[in-house]
Amino acid sequence: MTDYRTNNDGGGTASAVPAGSAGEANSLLNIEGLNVSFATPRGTVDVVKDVSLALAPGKALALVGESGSGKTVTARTLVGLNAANAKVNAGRLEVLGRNALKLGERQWRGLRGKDIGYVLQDALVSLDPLRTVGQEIDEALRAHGVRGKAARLERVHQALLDAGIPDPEVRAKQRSGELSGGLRQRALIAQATVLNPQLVIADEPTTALDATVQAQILELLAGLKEQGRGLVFISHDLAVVSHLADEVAVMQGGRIVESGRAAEVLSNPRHEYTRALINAIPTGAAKGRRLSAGAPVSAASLSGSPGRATEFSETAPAIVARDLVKSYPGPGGTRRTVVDGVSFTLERGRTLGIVGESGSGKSTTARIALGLTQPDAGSVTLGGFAWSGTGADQVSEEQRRRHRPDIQLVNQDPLSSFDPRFSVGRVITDALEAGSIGTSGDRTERAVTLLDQVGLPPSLFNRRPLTLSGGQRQRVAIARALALQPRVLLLDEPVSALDVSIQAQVLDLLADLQSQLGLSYLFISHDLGVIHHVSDDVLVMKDGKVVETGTAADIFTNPQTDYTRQLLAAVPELPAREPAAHVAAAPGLTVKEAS
Amino acid sequence: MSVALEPTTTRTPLPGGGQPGNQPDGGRGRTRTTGLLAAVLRGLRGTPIGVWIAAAVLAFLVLAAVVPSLLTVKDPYIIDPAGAFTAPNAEHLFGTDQNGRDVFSRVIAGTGQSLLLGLAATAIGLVLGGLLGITAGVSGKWLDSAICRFVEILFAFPGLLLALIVIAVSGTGVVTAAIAVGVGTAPGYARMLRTQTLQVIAAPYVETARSLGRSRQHILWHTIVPNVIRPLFVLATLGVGQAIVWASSLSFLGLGAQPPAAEWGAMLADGRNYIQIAWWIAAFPGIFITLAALTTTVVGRHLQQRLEAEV
Repeated sequence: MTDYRTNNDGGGTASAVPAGSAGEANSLLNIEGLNVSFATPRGTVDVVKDVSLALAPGKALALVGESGSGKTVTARTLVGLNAANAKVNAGRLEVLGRNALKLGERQWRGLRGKDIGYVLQDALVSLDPLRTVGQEIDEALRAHGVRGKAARLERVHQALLDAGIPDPEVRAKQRSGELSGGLRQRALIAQATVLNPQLVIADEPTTALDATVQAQILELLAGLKEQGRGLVFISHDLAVVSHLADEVAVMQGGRIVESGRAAEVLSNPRHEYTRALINAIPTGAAKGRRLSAGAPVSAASLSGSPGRATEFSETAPAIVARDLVKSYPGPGGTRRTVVDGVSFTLERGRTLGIVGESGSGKSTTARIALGLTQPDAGSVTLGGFAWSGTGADQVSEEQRRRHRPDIQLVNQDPLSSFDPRFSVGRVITDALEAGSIGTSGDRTERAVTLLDQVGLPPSLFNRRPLTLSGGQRQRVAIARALALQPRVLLLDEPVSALDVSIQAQVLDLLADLQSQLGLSYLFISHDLGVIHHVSDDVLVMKDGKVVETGTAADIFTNPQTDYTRQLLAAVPELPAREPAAHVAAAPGLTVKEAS
Repeated sequence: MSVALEPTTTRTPLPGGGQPGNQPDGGRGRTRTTGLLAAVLRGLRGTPIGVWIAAAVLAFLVLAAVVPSLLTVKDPYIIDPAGAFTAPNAEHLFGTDQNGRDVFSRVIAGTGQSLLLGLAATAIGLVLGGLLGITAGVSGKWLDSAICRFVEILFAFPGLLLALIVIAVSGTGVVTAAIAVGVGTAPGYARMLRTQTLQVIAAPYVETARSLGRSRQHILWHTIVPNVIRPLFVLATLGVGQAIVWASSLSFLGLGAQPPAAEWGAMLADGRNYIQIAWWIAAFPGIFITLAALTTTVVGRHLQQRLEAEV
């Protein structure tokens, strides 16, 4: 069991209690000097250090920070769910007016679900795939002794309805696999709130959701707040925070570095780390500006290498796709059209952003552009030569193979794209070998140069990709793509799995490489902020069709279709901030990723 | 040299410490070796005590198999009618059998044969199963269906029955027994390796190889096959235990090693006639069969978990 104890060496030091609510009699949370450490075989690791928080009913508190900043551990401490090797001590740890340091596991169980609702992070894995949603919610009721099957069913349906799920009778009988991401997240919220807890704790409640679904979930959470419940939520998305939170606590390395009223902190951040976090957010306003504090990389080191022979035209557009259609067999002999008449042109040296929600067909479009999926109709030319097509335009894989080095892919999950047997260096030398670039003797040196070009030290050469951080892995994937001296990079959600500050570094790196190597980017993302930041031109997709296309400025400032307007409206935005001189100085982000 | 987002040292230490020019092929071999060595070293830390014990027993068995003379000086085949049915004592640790042969020496002498039988049978099973499974996995369409149906038919027979069929056709003997057990276990391996092949083919890194411009042949031999057989070492460790039991079963039935060969299964069969008056003749070979199967399984399981944690 987690060891909870009062610390005697001075609670309340360097307190960062958000103003206004500390010490009130009816406060839901009153925490001073909370420390959490974990005993590991390699010694004690302090994860949360001297954290003070308070929360009043009807208010929302956001915990903000990068992975490893201690947000989740702090949140789990509030529901008594820390791992057995966790040591908790605090000057004061009052949850719902009770001294949480003295609560045993049995008492925690009495609180959890009933008085404190906990919404877990990943809706996909947090629901039992073998049980229906109704059973999952019913379990919370039964665990807290609600009697009568009919009465419980009534409450399950009401909870689903309250969470904004229409047809609760139908949904309650479905399993999590049959629900969309948004409905799953709602079901989790229904499960957490079915017993009307006073305090709801949510860990990244909108991460991985599409913009419009995210907007709906935010509304739902705001509704909980209006009912007088307290809400503590974790997010790495500052725009979401600004939308929902009354108070915000910014965490870095286990400590709260800044806290206060959300509007105040986000529009006038005092701590440099908060400023760096805000600067790292890709937006249209930040277009052309560096998001991270690091110096630009120099690709000059590669310019001396002998160019690869290519037929890539210096005059034709990088990619021209015409009327692409792709359908897959659906249930009962039907066909599901995934890509339906998509055309686009990627000009040389520019970035075309493809934005759309999940299921809009953007990834299939990418696969066709990459020549990995054969379209049912339509054609693609790459740098002026025929790349993919049907009928008379059909291009065989043998013909295509010669040109493959011209277009390379960087995807969302770089680890899965590395041969599991390979070290970092081997990943890159293998790509060089595939493109017959360099001699077998000098490929190691070239690989080191490529690593340097993407901002990785040579010491990573013999490391396994598995042991790298997410940002480092993505850099390795970019280095590998560059190894073949491509003309086009297809970037499929390349930063979606990264923390905002790492995302900033990777986006900056991509911008540097584009300007120095004259690369053309086809950039796919569900994140409108990222698309706005990186794109020259934008393609909006929905249900396999192109809804709208135009320059980034046009699409984002003057959308022509309802769908685009709806999409843009769903994106939570940060409050406007005076463009002070924070832009250059963001020392918090120069901290190297853990290697 | 340009400095990127992260400050690099000016020395630019090269991987492996060597100069890139003197290092043909990018130090490929070294990378793999250090990776494996590191994995083994990491594996040693945090290993449960049970696995340690199993590994120690297994090491003892291997020692007995390789240099039996180190453990016993008695000849396992010398008959001494006067000393028959001696209970275990200081002179004869495991007693003597009906012919006065030292059971301990015979058990030790049999270790080599039993382990070798297990290894050979597993190797045969893996090769046969691998050929079928990987072919099915990479070929798709009708060949895949054909192989799958064939393997399913084999599955309809209990493995031991398959082994008996092989022996019925080609007669008894140690070599036949190894082939028989190998054939018996092949369908299981075929199915596992087909699944493994399909998983590897669907992996993004195979697609990446394609978009790097690699040919189908190259992808098959340099990406798919090595990744399919990567977990085989572990699979084999688990299989050896099973194969030892099966091979012993065949010998027990008089279809494998023939008396007076010192082989565990044959000794067990021999000893069961005297189980009421001299339990040790059958018990000790039986214990060693169990130990061999148990320790290889425990060690194999552990390796499997480590590998899964790694991937």
